[in-house]
Amino acid sequence: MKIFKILRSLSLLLCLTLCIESNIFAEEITSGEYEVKAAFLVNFLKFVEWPQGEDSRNSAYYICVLGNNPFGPSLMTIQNKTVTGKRVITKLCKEPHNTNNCHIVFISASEKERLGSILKEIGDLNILTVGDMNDFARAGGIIQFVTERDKVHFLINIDAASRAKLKISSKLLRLSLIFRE
Amino acid sequence: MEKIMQWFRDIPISKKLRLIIAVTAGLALLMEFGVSTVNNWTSQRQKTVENLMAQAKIIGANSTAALTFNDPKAAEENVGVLRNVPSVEYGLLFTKGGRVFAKYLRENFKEYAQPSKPLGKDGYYFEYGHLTVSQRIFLDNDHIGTIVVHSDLKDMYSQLIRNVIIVSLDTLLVAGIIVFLLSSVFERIISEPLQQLSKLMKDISNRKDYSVMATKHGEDEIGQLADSFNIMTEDLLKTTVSRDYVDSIIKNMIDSLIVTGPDGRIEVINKSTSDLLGYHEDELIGKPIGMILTEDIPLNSLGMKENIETIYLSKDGRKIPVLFSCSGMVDNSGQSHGNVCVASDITERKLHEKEKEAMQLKMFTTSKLASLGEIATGIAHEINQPLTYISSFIQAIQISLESNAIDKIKLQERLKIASKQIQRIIEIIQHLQTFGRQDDIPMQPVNIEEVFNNSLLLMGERIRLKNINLLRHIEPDLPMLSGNSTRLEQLFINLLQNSIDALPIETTDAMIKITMFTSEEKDSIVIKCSDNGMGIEQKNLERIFEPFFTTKEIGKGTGIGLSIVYGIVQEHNGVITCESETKKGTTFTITLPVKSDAKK
Repeated sequence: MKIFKILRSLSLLLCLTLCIESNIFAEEITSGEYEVKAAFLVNFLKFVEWPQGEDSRNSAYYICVLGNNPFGPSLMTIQNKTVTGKRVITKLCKEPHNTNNCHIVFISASEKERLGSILKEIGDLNILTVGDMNDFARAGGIIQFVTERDKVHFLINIDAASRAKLKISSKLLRLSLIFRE
Repeated sequence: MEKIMQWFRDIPISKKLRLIIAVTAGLALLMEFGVSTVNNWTSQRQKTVENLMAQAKIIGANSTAALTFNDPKAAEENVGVLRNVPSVEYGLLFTKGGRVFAKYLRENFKEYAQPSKPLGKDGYYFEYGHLTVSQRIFLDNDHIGTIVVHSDLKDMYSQLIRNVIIVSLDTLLVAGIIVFLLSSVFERIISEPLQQLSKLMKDISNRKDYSVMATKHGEDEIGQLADSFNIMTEDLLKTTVSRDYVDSIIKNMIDSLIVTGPDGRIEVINKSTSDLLGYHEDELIGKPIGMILTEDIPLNSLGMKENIETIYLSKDGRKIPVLFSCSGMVDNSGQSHGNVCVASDITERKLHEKEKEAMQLKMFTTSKLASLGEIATGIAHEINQPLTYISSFIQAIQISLESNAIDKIKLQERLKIASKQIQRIIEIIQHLQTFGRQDDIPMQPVNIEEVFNNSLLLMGERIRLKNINLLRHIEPDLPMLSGNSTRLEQLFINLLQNSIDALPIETTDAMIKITMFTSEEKDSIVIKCSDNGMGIEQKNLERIFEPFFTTKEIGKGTGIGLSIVYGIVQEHNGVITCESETKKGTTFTITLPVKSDAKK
C-alpha cells in the first residue's frame, strides 16, 4: 500500500512539473486568453527598457492592473517571477495616481470611459501602458493586445512609447503591428 | 642512386649550389605547403564553424522575441535569413521542449535527416562533408530554445583549395626568385673565387710564373684555400729559385758530374761531362755508366769511392784519365737511389807526370854515366888486376917456352887461374853493358843481396885499393823485393861511392859497413850503410838529397849521387834517413817494402 502512495505522489510530482512547464510556456491561447496575456506582460519586461529611476522602482518590477482584474488567478502565476534578477510584483490599482511606481500598467476594459484622462495622467510617466480595448493604441496606449484567430498579437504605438521614454526592443517591434500617431 | 651521386659530384660547384638551394627551398616549400594546408584547413574549418555559429547566434538572438511571444511566423522569417547563405541546407529553431518552432529548408533540398532533437549543449559536428551547428537560445538567462543550422562544406572546400593554390603559387614564385637571387649571390661568393683560383692554377702551371698571388675574398675555407695556395706558390717560387741555383751550380761546375740510378744507368749529367766526353746529354741519359768507363768500378755498392784514377772513354774513342769519386745516394729509410759521381780531368797532370818521369829517366842516365865516370878508375883497376896476372902468366909461359922448361902440371894450374881471371873480366864487362843499357825495365822480383854483390863487381876493387875494410852483415834468406835491379844497384853504387869519398885516404881503419835485415813487421827490408868517415855537418844534413848539392871539391863529385839515391828509394816506395856526426861517420838507413806497389 505504501508503494501505491509513493507512486501516486511521484505521478503527482511528474504531473506538477509538466504542468508548471506548460504553464510557464503557455503560449497557446487554449491555455486561457488572460493567462497568455499575463505571461506576455512578464515577457514585455524582457524587451522594454525603462530609464533609470527612483530606488523604489529599481529593486523589483511592478506590474499593475488598473481597474477590474480580468486576469483572475493568472495574475498570481506571474507574481514573484524573476526577470533580469528582479522580482515581479503584481498590484491591483483603482486610481491612476496609484500606479506611479509601476513599470507596466494594464488598463482594464472597465476603465474604457476614462481612458483618455488616465493616459493623459500617466502617459508621460515612464510607464508601459498595456490594454486590450479597441483603439487603445490610437488613444495613446503603448501596447494593445489584439486577438486574431485565437492568437494573441499586439499593436505598439511607438510614439506613445517614446513619449513615455521607453525603449522597446526591435525584436518585439518586429513581432508586433506598429501604430504611428 | 650511385649514378645520381656521381653526376652530382661531377657537375660544377655553381650548379651544385643552385641545385642544393633549389632542393632545400623545394623541401622547405613542401613543408611550408603542408603546414599551410593543414593550417588553412583548420583555420578554414574554424572560420566556417565560427561563421555558422555566428549565423545561428544571430538568428537565435533575433528569435528570442518570436519564441517568447510564440510567433513562429516571425521566427520563420528570422530563420529564413539563412537563404542568403547558399551552403546552408537547413536551419531549425526548436522550442525549449525540443519541438520544431520554425525552419528553413534550402530550395530543392529533399533529403535531410532532420534531427529530432537539438544537441544538449552548444556545439558543432562535422559529418559526411557537412557541418551541423547547434546553439541554445537564452533570454534573461532562461533557456528558451535552440537553433540548429546544417551546412554543406562545398564553400569551405573551394575556399580551401583556392587558398592553397594561391599560397603555393605565391610561395613558389617568391621562392623561385629567392633561389635565383641566392644562387647568383652564392655563385659570386663561393663559385667565383674557386673558379678564379682554378684559373690561376692553370695559368701558373702554363706560364710557370709563381709570383702571381691569389686574391683572398674572405676568411672562410675558400680564403684559407687562397692562403694555402699563396703559401704553396711562394714555396714553389723558393724551391724553383733554389733549384735554379743548384742547377746553375751543377751546370757551371768544372768537374764532370754524373748521377746514376740504382741500376747504374745515367740519370743526370752536367755540361762539363758532355763537353769532356763529346756526347750530347741525350746520348748518355739512360745509358749504363759502363759506356764511358774503361774499367769496371762496382757502383752498386753504397760505399764511397774516393779519388780513384780511372779512364773515361770519350765519344771519339779518346781515353781521358780522370780522378773519379763516387758516393751512394741513400734516403732516410736506407734505400739506395743511385750514385753521385764526380770526375776531374787529369790529362794534364798525367802529361806532367810523364814529362817528369822522362826527365827522371834522363837524370838517371846522366847520373849513371856520372857514376860510371866516377867509378871508371875502379873499373880500370878491376880489370887491370886480372890482366896483370894474365900478362905475367903469359910472360912466364914465354920464358918457360924459351927455356923449354915447361912444367905441365904447373901450367895447367896457372891456365885455370888465368881463365878464371878472364872470366872475371868478361863478367865485369858484361855487367857494365847491362848496367849501362837497361834503364827502363819493369818492376820484378829482385834478390837484394845479389844486387849488392853486382854492385861490388864494379866497386869492390876500388874499395880494396883504398884499403877500406868492407863489413857485410847480411841476414840470410832475405825476402825478394819487387823492384828495379839496375836502379837498386845504382843505389848501392852511389851509396858506396859516397862512403868512399867520405873516408880520408890516410886513415888505416877506414870502414864501410853494410847491414841488411828484415823489419820486425816482416813487410820490409832495412838496409844500413855506415862509414866512419868525416861525417856531414848538421846544417848540410837537410840538403844532402838536393840535386847538385855537394861539399866535395870541384871535379870530385857531381852532387847528384845522393839525390839519385833519394829518387830510387821514392820510386820503390821506401824511406831513406840519414844520421851523421862530424868526424865520426854517417849512417844511411833505407827501408824498402817487400811488396812494393811502386809505379812502373
